[in-house]
Amino acid sequence: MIKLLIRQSLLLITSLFILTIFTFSISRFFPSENFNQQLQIQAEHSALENYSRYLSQIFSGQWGNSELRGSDVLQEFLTFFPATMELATLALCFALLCGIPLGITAAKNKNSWQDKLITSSTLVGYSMPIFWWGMLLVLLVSLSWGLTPVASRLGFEYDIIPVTGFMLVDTLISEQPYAVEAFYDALHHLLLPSIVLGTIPLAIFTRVTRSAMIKVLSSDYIRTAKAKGLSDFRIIWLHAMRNALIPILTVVGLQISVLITGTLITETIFSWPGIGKWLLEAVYRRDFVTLHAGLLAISALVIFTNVIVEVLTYYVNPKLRIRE
Amino acid sequence: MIRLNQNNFRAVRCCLFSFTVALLYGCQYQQNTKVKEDVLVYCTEGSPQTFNPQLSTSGTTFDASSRTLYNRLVEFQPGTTYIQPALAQSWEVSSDGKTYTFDLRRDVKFHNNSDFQPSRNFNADDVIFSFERQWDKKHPYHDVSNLSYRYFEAMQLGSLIKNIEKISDYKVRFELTRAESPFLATMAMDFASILSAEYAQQLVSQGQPEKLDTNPIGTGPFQLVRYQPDAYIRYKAHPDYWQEKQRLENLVFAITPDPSLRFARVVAGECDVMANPLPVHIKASNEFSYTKVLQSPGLNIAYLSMNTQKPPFDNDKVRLALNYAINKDAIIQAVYRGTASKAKNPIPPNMWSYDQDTSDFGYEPRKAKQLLEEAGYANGFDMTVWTMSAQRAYNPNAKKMAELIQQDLKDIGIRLKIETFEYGSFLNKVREGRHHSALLGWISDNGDPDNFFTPLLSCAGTLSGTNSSNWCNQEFNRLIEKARSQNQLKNRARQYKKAQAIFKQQSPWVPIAHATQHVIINPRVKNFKITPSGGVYFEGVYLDEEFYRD
Repeated sequence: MIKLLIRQSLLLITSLFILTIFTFSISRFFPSENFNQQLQIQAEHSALENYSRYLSQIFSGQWGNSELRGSDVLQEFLTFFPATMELATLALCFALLCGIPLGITAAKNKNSWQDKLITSSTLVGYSMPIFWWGMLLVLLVSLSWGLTPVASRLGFEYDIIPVTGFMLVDTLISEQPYAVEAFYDALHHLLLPSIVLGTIPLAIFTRVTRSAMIKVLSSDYIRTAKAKGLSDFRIIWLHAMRNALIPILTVVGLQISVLITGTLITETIFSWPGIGKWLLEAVYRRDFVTLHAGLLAISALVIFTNVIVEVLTYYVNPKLRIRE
Repeated sequence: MIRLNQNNFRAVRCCLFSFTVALLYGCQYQQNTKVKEDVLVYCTEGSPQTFNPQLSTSGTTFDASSRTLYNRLVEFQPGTTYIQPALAQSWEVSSDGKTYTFDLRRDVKFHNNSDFQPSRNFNADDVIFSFERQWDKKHPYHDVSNLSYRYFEAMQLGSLIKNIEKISDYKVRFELTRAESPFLATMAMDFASILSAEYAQQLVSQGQPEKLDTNPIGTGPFQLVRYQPDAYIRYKAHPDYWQEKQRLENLVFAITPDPSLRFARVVAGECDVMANPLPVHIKASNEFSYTKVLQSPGLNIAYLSMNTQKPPFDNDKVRLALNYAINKDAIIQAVYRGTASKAKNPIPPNMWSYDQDTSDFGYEPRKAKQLLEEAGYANGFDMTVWTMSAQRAYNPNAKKMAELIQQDLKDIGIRLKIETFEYGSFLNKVREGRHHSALLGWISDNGDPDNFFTPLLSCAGTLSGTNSSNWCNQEFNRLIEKARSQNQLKNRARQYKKAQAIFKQQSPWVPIAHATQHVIINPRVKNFKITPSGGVYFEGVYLDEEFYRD
């Protein structure tokens, strides 16, 4: 285990270095004087010298000030990040909580009408343009039926001081008399965006769970378990699940980047004040300092979560442990 | 074993059940109408660049800063372009028009929050600080925040102001290098907002001077409570406002860049006021009882400018012929979808000195053809028109407008070729004067007619490139220069009316339309007025407590 951790952290560090080389080299093409100035890149120095200056800026947390607002971009990233994190986490929960049971149902009743229904609807969910789907849901659920709010994180009647940036937490720790009400309101606001963002991952998780489950259920040890007369529930959740979880976990790791790109669109649809909207605005306004910071932070985040998933997979999968 | 299995199952079922219940509870949870009654939500189109209006040129920033948080020495009367006293209760102009002395209002209190507790009321020091920061390049605050003072520079105040002097605590004198009557209107512009010198000083001693521009302290009707970039700006009424405290206790700007989403929010009742609706939204909102469309003519104009230096536009009759040949009604229907009014003068009708009595040329192709014959172009001629691809407040679709004009001119034998450019290069090329004709427009900065006449039609404008028709009429020029140096509104208006008569007679442009501004509001919002210069003011606005949707 320790060996793995060392290996993974070395991998993490190397990946991050490669990432900085990448961001450094593409930043040379930014047509922004301001950007180079802020990150201490000077034309008269050699590329190597500039790179080391750039690295020291990055590691000391001096990522520059937004060309648009003049505020520190790293600070800005940290203020917008919790909103995205909250949305992405809920979307992931939604996708996992619905996707895995759906996949299992499909696998258990392979080739039945349930299976066909589930597989075909996942295909629809997977290929549906998220923008269209989001708009459709807003039109139906929010505007026609009036069930959910149209946009933003919280009703403006509640004045909640952002402490952690996570609205569900901030509302609960708030000292306002309407704290609990505000919490439900925040949950209410999260509902539609997380369903929209979670739709594609949901489709993928369902399909992966189904195929993994079918494979595991046909293996010998399951047949033995069935022969011993164990209940379906016990077979699936206690015996088959653990083995089926390995491919699912790998896919979850891969879905992190899908979720992050999905937030770009979802946040625009729901006017969600997160990283996606922040970056999109930077693109419109050609704010290269912000773009660079967003690129660096998001890539680092994706690398980091993939390493965590890798470690988790190792923990779940005994085969990997034995091989060492 | 079996028991464990059932327990497990129960646990999973329990989890799923509570998740579903949470979802359903969320669904059924209705907005608390009681809390909502004292919050007005304005759906704005973007985040402000800063909270200091001196540093910006964007209307969105002004809405969030100068129009809510600050006051100016003089201000525009709500909904008009007339000047009224604000932080200056009166002013005197010297007979040569070069010295302005402002008598400042007493007992004006600045906002008070946990960062700053003002020890004194507003006085001359604040006025001097606010202008010297922009004017004096050596002022310790001049380079704070790394942004430029674009409006101050664009209005050429740097060269216009000779000296700013504090005479007493409540008297400030501005000395100018030349007589300039629009100076007062300039002082009502957003960049002339008054900031607190005491707060600035306190921030310098705390070593964080840039907070002046991000954590604003002003004298305005509202004070800032909290700003979450790209999400919302929350204000509350300024308790010691020098007029009376606002009836509206809480004001929130919900930052919603997507126009369709803004419309959805106003329909759903999440927003009370919606900025910049599209023509589609205006049409749709008439179908709902809980949205109301407010409209007011904007201080703008869209026009076809003919380059009088190039034949055949050096011929008065040809220019007149074009004025008769273009069907403005059709353009207003097709391009503006009815959200504009026909133009006949170079300034909009809601601007003082507008000549109501001039008659428009009207759409008379036969007369146009006759004029062309008289000018010696019986077989018509070839012309090109330049348009821009960008959508502007005064012209939602310049290309379409050009196509309609093309059809109209075909009827009198003129063969029109359309060339479209990207906005920036379009402006540069027109400035160089290489166009034959161009579809242009203008939005007022300060509501003063001079802001139209001098840049767009003066002889000086032909040199700087802002006079796109290159039309230099000595008599016209004399009139607007005279008006510029006079102080009496009545006298100035007389000069401008005479100038408009010359404009009509010579017709260097085909004035086409004045685009109307629209705002969609919830009917519970009372006393909301659209300002002609395009800004949104919430001073005096309140919510009808009797009214609530559902």
